[in-house]
Amino acid sequence: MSFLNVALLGGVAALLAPLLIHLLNRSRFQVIDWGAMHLLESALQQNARRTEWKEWLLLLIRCLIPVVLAVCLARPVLTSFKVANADGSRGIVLIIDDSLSMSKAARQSSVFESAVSTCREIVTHYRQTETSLWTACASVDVLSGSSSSTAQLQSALDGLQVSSGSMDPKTCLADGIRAAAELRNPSRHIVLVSDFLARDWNDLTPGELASLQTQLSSGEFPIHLTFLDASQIDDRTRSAPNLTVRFVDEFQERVQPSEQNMFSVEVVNFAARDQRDLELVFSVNGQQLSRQSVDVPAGGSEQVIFACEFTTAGWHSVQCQVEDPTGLVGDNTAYRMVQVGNPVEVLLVTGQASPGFDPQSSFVQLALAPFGDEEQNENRFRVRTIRSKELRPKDLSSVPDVVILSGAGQLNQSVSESIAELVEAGTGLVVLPDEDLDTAWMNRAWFDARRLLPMAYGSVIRPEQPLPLLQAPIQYPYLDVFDDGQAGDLSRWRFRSWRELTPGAEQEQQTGDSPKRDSPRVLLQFADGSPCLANGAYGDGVVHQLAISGSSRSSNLPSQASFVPFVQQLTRSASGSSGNGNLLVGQPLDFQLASPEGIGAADEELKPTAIELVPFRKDEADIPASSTTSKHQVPVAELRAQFDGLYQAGLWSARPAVESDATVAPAWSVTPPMLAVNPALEESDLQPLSGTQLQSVADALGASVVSSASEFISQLQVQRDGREIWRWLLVALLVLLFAEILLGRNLHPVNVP
Amino acid sequence: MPSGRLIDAHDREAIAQLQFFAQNVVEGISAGLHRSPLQGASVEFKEHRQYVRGDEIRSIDWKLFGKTDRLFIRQYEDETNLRAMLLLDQSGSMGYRGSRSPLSKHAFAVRLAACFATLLISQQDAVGLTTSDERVRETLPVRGQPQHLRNLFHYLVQSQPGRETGLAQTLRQVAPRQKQRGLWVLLSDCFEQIESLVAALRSLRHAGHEVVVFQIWDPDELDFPFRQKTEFRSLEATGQHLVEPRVLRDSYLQRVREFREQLDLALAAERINLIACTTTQPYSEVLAQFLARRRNVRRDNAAGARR
Repeated sequence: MSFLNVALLGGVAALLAPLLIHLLNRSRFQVIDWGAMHLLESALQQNARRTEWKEWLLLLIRCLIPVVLAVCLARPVLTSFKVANADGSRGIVLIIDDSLSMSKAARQSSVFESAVSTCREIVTHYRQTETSLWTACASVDVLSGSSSSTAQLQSALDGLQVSSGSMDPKTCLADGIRAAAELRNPSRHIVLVSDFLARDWNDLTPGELASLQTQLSSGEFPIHLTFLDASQIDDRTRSAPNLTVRFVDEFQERVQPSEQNMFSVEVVNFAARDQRDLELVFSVNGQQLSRQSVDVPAGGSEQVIFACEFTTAGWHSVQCQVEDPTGLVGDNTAYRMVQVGNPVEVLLVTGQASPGFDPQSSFVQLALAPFGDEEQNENRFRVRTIRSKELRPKDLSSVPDVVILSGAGQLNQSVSESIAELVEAGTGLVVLPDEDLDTAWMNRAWFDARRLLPMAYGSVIRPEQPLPLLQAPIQYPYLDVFDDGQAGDLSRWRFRSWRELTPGAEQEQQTGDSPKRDSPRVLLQFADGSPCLANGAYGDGVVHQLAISGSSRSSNLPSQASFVPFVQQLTRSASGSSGNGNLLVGQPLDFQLASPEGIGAADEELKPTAIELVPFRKDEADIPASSTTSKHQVPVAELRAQFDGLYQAGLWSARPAVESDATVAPAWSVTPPMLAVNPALEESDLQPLSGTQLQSVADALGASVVSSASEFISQLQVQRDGREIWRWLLVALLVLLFAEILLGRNLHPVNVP
Repeated sequence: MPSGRLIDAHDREAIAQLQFFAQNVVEGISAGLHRSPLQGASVEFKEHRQYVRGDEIRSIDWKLFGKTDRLFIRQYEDETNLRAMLLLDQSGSMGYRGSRSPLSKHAFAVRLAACFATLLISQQDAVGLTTSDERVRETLPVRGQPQHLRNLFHYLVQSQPGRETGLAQTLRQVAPRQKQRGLWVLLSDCFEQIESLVAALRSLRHAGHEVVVFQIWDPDELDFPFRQKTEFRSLEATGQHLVEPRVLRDSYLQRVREFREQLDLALAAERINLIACTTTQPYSEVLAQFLARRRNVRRDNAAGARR
C-alpha cells in the first residue's frame, strides 16, 4: 500500500487524543466512602465483565476514528491490486497538440516550442520509461515502443512542427487510450500537452466525456490522464487577438479562359476591438494582383470581392493574405486552386424514338447546358445529343470527354465495342437506365463480357412509399461537395422506382483482353440500403452506373435545386478530373495518375509507384529529389492514390515520385497536379478554456491538470498505481462513528435522575 | 460508665443535647396516648406507682386514691419489668452519610436509640444498650431508673462507627446473657448475610424475646443518584471500586430491591418486625410506626389468648 498524500498520515497521531482523554478520565473521578458495598459488589459482579469489554471496545473505536480519518485523507492505494511492477517503471503516451493555435507566440517562444520543451523534460526525466509520442492533430504515432531510446525521442521531438489543423479531443484521446493500452507496462499514463482551446473542447458532450472516462478506467489496467497546460497564460479567461482570412466557398467549377471570375474572401476578427484599414493582398500564381483595405468589427467578419481573369488553361493558384502582426501567422493566408480549361465534351445518347422533348434525357441535357444560345459560352459542358438508334462508330471518332447513356436502348455491337474502347482509353461513362432497359443485353454486353459496368442491372423496384437516399457522406471527388450541403441537399430526393443494381455472378472466364474490373464502389444508396450510384474504373476511364433515370416519372430529381449541380459534378467526375485540389487540412484526397501519350496503362515497369507531394514553388523544377522536408509520398495502386490528408496549409505540388535508380518517364501526370490546403478556421479562435472549465473537463475524465513538466513529475512521484480505497475507508469511518454513538449511549446513558 | 474513657465537657453537652432532643420527641409522640403501649400482662401485684399521663384509667387504684387523694397505678410483676435491650450497630457502613442527609446512618440510629430509651424510661420500663461492630463493644445492662438514662446517653455519645459488621456474631454473644424475656431493638442497616442475621435473631425469638429491627437506609443507598465516574471505598475497609455509576445503577437498584425483599420475607417468617427507615425521616414518624406495629402485635396476642 502507498499513499497519495503521505503528509496527512501524520494525522494518525490524533489517536493519542482519545487515549489521553481516556487516561485523564481515569484519573478524574470522585471518591465516595460507601456503606452498601456488598450490594455494589454484587451489582458489579453482574456487570463488570460486560462493561469492561465494552469500555475497551469504545476506547478502540475512538482511537480508530482519527486513524481511519487520517488514512482516508492520505488517499491510500492498494498497490497489490492490478499492478505488479515494484520498480516504479511506467509507460507514458505523450500527445503534443500540434494544431495551428499552438503556433501562438508566448512569453519567449511559441506555445508549441514550449510544449516540445516540456515533453523533452519529461522524456529526459523518465529515461527508462516506455514512451510513445503522438501528435494530436494528425493522430500520428511519431515514435513509440520501449525500444526507442531517449536520443531517438529527443530527435523525434526536434523534428516536430506545428500543423495547420485543429485538434479533435475525442479522436486524439481515443488514439491515446489505444496507444496506452498497447503499452507493456501496466502503469500507464497519457500526458496531453496542449493549449486547451474552448472551440476544441466545448463540443465534447457529457456522454462523450463519460465514454472516454470509461475507456480510461475500464481497461485491464487503469490509465492515468494528465492535462499539461502549455499555454503559459496567466489569465485563461481572456482571448488572444487574431485575424484570419478564407475564401467563401461555393463548389468550384472549371472556369474558362479569358472569363471574368469573382472571388469572395471573408476576413474574421477574433479580437475584442475593431480592426481598421487592414491590408488584403490578392495574388494569382504568386503574383500580387490587387490590394484592398478593409475594416473588421470586433468579433465580426467582413467580405471582400476580388476579380481576376485567367488567360491560359491549366491549374492556377489564388491567394489572399491579410496583415495580422499580433495573432497567428499560419491563418493569415487563404489558398484556392482554379482549374481553367475548355468546356467538357459530352455525348448524350438517348433512347427517344423521335426528336423533341424526351423525359428520359432532356432534363439531363438541360442540367448540363442550362444557358441558351446567347449565353452559350456560359455553359461548362458542350453537349451533343444523339439517339441510340442513330449512333454509329463514326460519331465517336471525335473523342468526347464523357459519354452519357440516358435511357438508351440496345446499341449495336460495333458501337458498344467502340464505347468500351473509349472508356478504356480514358473517356468517362455515365449510365442512367429507364424502365424499358434491355437488362439482358446490357448485362451480357457490358457486365459479363466486357466488364465495363461495375454492377449488373436487375429488375425494377417500386417501393410502397417514395424512398429518400441513405444519409451518408459520399467522399468522392467532385461529389463530396454534397456532403456539407454547399452544392445542394440530396436528402430531399424521393424515388418512386429504380433499377436494381446487383454485384452479379462473377464469371471466371473473361472475354478478350478487357481490363480487370475492380470491386464496385457504391457512392449513393437508397434508404433501404440498395445501391443508387455505383462507380468503377475501366482502363483509364471512370464509369458511373446509376440505378435511376433522369425522368420525372420515377423521382422528383428534375424539380430539385440540387439536380443541376449533381448532374454536372457527376459528369465532371466522370470526365477524368479527380478532385479540384481545394482542401482543408486533414481532408483526404484521391489522386489519379494519367499515362503519357504512347505508353499503355498496363506498362508496369514505367508506371510510378508513388505520388510525391511537395510545397509548391514557382521554380518547382529546382526542388531536388532528396529535399524531403515536408515531403509526403502516397503509394499508387491501379493508377490511383488515396491520401489521408495534409496538415500544413499552403500550396502543394503533386508529381510522380522520382527514385534515383528508376527510369520513370516524367510525362506521367497527376490529377490534380496542385493542391490548395487551407487551415482549420476553428483554430483561429484563440479563446482558451477557463481554469474552471478545464478543471471541470479534467474532473469528468478523472484527469489531473498540471502546468509544467516538473509539476507532472512531482505528481507521478507521489502517485502509485493500484486501487484507491479511500471510499471504503470513508464507509468504515461512518460505521465507526455510528458504533461509537451507539456504544457510548449504551455505556453512558443520559437519562439518569 | 464506659471503661477507659472519662466523660468530658463535650460529651456532657452532647448528652444534654441528646437528652433534650429525645425528651422533645417522646413528649410529642406521647401526647394523647391514654394507655402505655409497653404495659406488661400479669396478675401478680408488685407495687404501686404514681399515675402518669397516658396510663389507663382502669389501672388506677381508686382505693388508694381515696386514702391518699393521689392517683396511683397498680402494677404487676411483668408489667413493671418490660426489659428492652437496644442493640446499636456501629459498624463502618453505618457511618455513611449521603449528600441529601443531615446525619449519617449511625448518628440517626443514636438519636433514634436515645428517643427509644427516653420513651421506655418515661414509661417506667427498663432499658439496656449494647453497641457492636464486628464484636460487642459496650454493654449497659437493662435498668429502669431514670438516672440510668444518662449513662445510656453517655454510651450512645461515645459510640463511633468504623469496623466491619458482625451483627449475627454479636447477637449470639449477647443473647445468652439476657435471661429474662424482653424486647430486643436492633438499630442497624443490616448489611450482613441475611441467613446468618436471621439465624441469630431466630435464636432470640426462640428464647421468648420480642424482636424489632430498625433498618436504617441513607436515601443515596436507595436511589443511587451518582452521575460521574466514582470510586466507591468501603467504609469497612474491605476494598474499593472505580465504577461508572450510570452503567451500574440499574443493576444496583435491582440488587437493593432483592436484598430488601429477602430480608423482609425472612424476618416476617420469624415474626420479627422490620421497620425500614431513611435518615431523612422524622424520628417521631419512625417511633409512631413502631408503636403502631406494637399495638397491632398486642392485639394479635390478646386475640390469640382469648381463643
